[in-house]
Amino acid sequence: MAAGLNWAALPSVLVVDILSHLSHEDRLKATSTCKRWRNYLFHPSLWKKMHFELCASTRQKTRFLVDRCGRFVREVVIKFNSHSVSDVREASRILSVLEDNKSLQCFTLLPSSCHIEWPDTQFPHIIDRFLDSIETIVRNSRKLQHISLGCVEELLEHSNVLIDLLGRRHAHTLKSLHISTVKEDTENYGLFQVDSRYFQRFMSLKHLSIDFDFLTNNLLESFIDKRKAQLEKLVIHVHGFNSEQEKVTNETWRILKNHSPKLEVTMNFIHSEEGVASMLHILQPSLPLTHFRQFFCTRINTAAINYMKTHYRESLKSVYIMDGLIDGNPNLYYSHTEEDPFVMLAWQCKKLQDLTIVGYEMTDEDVIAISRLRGRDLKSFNMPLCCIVSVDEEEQTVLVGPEYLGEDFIQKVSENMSWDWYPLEDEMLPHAVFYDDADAETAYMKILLNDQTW
Amino acid sequence: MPQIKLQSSDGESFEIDLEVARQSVTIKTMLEDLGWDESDDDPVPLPNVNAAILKKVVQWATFHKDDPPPPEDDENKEKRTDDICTWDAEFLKVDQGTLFELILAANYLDIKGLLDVTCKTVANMIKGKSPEEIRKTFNIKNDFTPAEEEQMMSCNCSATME
Repeated sequence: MAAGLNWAALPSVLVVDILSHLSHEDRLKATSTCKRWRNYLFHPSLWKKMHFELCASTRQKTRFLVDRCGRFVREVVIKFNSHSVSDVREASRILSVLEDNKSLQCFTLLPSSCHIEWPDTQFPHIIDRFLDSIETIVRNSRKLQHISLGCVEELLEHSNVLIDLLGRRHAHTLKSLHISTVKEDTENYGLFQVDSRYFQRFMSLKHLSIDFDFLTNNLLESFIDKRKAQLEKLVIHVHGFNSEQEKVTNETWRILKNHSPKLEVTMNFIHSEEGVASMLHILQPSLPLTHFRQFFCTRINTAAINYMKTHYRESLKSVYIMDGLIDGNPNLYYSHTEEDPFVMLAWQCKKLQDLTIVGYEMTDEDVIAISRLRGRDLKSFNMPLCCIVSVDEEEQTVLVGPEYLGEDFIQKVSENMSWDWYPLEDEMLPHAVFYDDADAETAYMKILLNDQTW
Repeated sequence: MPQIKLQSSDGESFEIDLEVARQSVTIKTMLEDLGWDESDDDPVPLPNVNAAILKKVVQWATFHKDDPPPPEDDENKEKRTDDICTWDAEFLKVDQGTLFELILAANYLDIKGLLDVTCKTVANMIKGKSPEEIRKTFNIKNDFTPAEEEQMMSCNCSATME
């Protein structure tokens, strides 16, 4: 029997099956043994997913792999530094190869920033090339399931064209669509049009990220349809607030929630002072809010936090608030009740498992109270050391500095939650917390893009 | 429990439980196509599997007859090779030739569970080895010319992922 034994001649499906169980490195070695096995190195089923992290030192490798596999790979993630012109050019080059890919199912851009750097003097502008490629990709791929354009404002100015095309080509396959943006300037940005009727075509959409500016009753109603998949994740980015915008009514939220009981809504307020100030005009009792985040909005809307405590007791899972310090000092927020609103939130919201408050003063007593109220259910609790203060009851003064915290403060919080808790040290915080002119995007891009992964 | 007769390529007959045999999609389809019923006494011929291997396959299928049906391949899940159960690991402590024939038989008989575990075992034998060691383990002849080999190495270098 051994004489007839020829592993090299194993039927191709079996060789590919064996190779599919190997790491990339081992696969390279196995396919370097003989000519027949070599043929399977670039077998499409072994290159379904490609995750590129662009940088100059791996440029050759990236090109080689894109040229070999870019036309059949099914899932592509491109992570790049959008302030590096050469990385941006390379990302565009990958997109142009993907134009011929009919099998592409998932496409994700992970830029470092919402703005793509390109010298004004070079034509055509790279954004036009990105847009052309994306349009061709959507046109040529047969079964697109997921698309995320990385919150890049300039790429999403033409979302209407994109959504129209996606609806015509991929209405039955598209499950996940991310067209929310991050704005360079939240006080002054162009409002492009998104026609909510285009959303009616999608039959399988489960995850959607969109800017608040486009959120209408009509748009949400297009998901209330028994023939369609139920919406499971809705991420809303709030930038500015226009009081004349059509308000999504509580009735719409109620019907949507009843229709899609699994729906989780994330609201991200990004540099949105107006948005946070107007939160009570945005929130509705039936909105199934699960994740609330605000980044650099310069204020906490205490009334809105109180509103959440009342209306989202059964849904709210995480709260993330980040703002810059003022001259190294934490901001204050106004509380019209004796109890701190976050202590009340921790008390009322039984599902709250993540709480991050950076940039606002909180007393050690309140930190302890929150940890006691949520206990081990609080899976992450991020408070910077520099924001925790002690109150001297007799003197009626606030004492700032770690030396004033009770000796057993950290221990008490840890014991309450049954895990080793530590407050955040300064070096664990993004620069933008300390410096006005630091790049704030690095503090939140990763979190926002994490909402948009497949 | 109804029984069925299988006949190996070298003419040996095996009488096994129908439920055990039906783990093979090939046999299952054959029986359906033939309109087989319990009164049938004719053995099902399996011209691609010899008696020694068929015996092993039957042994495997008998042990696994109550397994839930194997899950569909999930493309989003990383493939693991460290989840081979102890019984299978022991069962597959066989010589190269037997392992090779078992893979072919599992493929021909279309028994997903057996195919999976044999391919994983081969993958485990490849892991961490150099191309030369892999050739030695599996008796594979290096048929590259020196020029091809050089070209391949440079391609490998480019295809390495960080």
